[in-house]
Amino acid sequence: MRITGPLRRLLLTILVVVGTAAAVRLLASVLAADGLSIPKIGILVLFALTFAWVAMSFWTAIAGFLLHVFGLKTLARAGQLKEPSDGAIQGRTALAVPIYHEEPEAVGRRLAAIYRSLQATGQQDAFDIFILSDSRDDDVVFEEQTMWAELCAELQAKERIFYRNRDDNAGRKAGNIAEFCRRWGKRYDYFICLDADSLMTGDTLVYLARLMDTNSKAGLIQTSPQPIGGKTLFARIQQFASALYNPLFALGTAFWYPGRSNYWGHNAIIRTEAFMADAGLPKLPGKPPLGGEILSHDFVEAALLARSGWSVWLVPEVGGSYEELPPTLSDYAQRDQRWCQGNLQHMRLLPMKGILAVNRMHLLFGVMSYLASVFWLLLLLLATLDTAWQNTEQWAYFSDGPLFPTWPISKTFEMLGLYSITMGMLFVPKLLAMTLALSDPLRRRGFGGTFGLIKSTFSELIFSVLLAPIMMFQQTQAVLNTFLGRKVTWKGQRRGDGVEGWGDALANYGTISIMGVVWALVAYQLAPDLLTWMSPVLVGLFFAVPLAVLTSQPAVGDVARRFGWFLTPEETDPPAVVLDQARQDEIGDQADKEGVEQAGSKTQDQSALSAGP
Amino acid sequence: MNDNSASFQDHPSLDDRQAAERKLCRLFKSFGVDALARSDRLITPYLDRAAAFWRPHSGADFAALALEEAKADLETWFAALLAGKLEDRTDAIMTGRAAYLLCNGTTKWADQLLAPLGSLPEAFVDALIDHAPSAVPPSDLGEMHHQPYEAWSPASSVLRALPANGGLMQGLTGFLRRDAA
Repeated sequence: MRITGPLRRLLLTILVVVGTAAAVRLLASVLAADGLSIPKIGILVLFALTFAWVAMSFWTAIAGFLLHVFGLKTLARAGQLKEPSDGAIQGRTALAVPIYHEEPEAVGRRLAAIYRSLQATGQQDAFDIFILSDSRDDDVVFEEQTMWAELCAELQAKERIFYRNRDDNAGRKAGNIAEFCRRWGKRYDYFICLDADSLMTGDTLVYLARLMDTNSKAGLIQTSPQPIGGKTLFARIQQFASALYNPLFALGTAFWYPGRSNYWGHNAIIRTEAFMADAGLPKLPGKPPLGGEILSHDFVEAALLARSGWSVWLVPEVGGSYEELPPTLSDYAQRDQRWCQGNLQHMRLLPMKGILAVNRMHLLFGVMSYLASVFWLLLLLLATLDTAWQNTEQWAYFSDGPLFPTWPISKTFEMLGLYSITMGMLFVPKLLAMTLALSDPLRRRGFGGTFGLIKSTFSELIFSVLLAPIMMFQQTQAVLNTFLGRKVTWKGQRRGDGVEGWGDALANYGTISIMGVVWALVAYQLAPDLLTWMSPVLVGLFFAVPLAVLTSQPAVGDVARRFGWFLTPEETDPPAVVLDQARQDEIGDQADKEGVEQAGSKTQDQSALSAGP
Repeated sequence: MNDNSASFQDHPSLDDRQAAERKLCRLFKSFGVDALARSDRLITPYLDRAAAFWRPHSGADFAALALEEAKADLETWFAALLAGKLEDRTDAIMTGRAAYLLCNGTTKWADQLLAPLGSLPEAFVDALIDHAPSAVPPSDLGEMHHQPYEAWSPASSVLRALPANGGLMQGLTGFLRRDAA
């Protein structure tokens, strides 16, 4: 008996709905003990929404964990995505690399590493690379063209690596790819979309092309890119978390949605014919922020492909796929703001005709990933308000928890139970991921050994607790900005290697910290116990400024690395392609440094001679 | 005021000249050529030509002017050499630079960059033409079909959500049917 995708999703739905219903019932019994009020009903609704969101993530991780433990990873393919045989690749593949005002030299180094890795497979003739520039700045365009010329020469890749700069950048990244498809799509059976910071091994590229050759109904196959190259503490923590937890979450996701997975916008292979015929983005009626041009294209393209009968796969077990992360909290938040606008726009696509139910779910999850922060903030505010109200009524409802009021003594046990369950659902997946890594000698070593892995995991847990309330505020702000049709303008600019100065941090996070202090004072006035229970949230808010500054420092990241904190397998034992890129980066940095020094001294000498009065 | 009587302030400052030299060095470095070692051809003429156009307080960037002059020369030079290989003259520098690097111009013919066309060695010109790559392959035009946006009403969306193709109910009924069979 094969357990089909819809049945798996039915099971997931039952697990989430039943778990959420039980938790809500428990909370309702506590809240209703002394009668339900409007704030309490609000608390129940918001709790249900946030709990369901956490439960969804929890069961995804549990599925991934069980598949790992019982060696059933292949179940994620549900017997439908057939393993390819070795041999020559049948179809031709383009690596499409849309860029927009990126650092050309860095892009060039990554592409060189990818190309050399492809050469090592002996299958490079089946691939061409397209650098698809949307840059508008003439200097940047010139640098990009230099990068292309140098790549062609260095790799002897004449007519294998192409460069074009669009006259106008209509439709942004999606428009860039669409224009590529219109002009050259017919020449290629498949294309692999790479972001400017993407890195993939030749073996993985070849494997993906063969998967497409073998599975003619596959419209899109998404890999699970592993973040690499983080230098700041912020990026290193994020990349550690991703390396440790993603195998569970990604495998779980692949299991629940076999053949109906999602597209993440890059590091995925796409059947060109299917994409051109069925995945052209519609224009949404109405004006921005929710109408007009679709900003976040990937989920929509996956939905359109699935609507036309193409399968969309996530293959997390396929390694050799990498990306980079924003170096600082502010960069992360800026990216979040962009994604928030795009994801909220997907609300307009929920009722689109013909979209499969599962894709509506994906779109809804994208929306929820931002609305969840709003719901959480409202939940906390309502809890505080309810405590205030109870205090005026001589009730001590809210002295035992940040999320939940303090109840009459007889209900404390239930509240503690509910609180423990919620925390467990948040933290157990992380602990399971750590256990899994500890049980695998190779991965354990990769994460810095037993002690290194344990101390890094618990440090990451603390960091994520501190970060969560800051992200809650930032995402809520992003949602509000989107609905108000505003764009966030950051007061501070990132400098050098992602360092955030105190002034910038104060401008960006000062308000959040002040709100944390005010909230703490109010909570203390209302009920000192409430302050104790809310302290994890308030401490994060209070320390937002120093946290942003400290984690943006590459030097701090380097110290952490040297002391074995937040190491990842890709860092401890880098794959050849990662090593190649790192080596090129070092050479490039050194050359830049020497070039600047040399040019500086020579120019000074010559100018002194040539510049007359 | 004629050129002879120009005051000190009518000339670009030392900083301006240094900035221009740095930009020119960077430009020619992208060809693998050390411009300072050949400043008579690759730096001085462009500083002089930029100075001829430049006027104080005009708001013009001296370094940018010098760079534009050099780029204009490069474009003309490569366009003349690679005439048959170029679809668009504006691609001349990009294609020419790739050709120059691909034919090992940096090591074999470093002195020939921007040399008078009539004096160029035939082997160099042939190598340049042979190695000139296309920035893009020939277009094979296709269509990207944009999907129309048609939406259900909110009520019918809810009603249709579960039984939609690939939906949960279909999965359940299909599963039960298969078991019954």
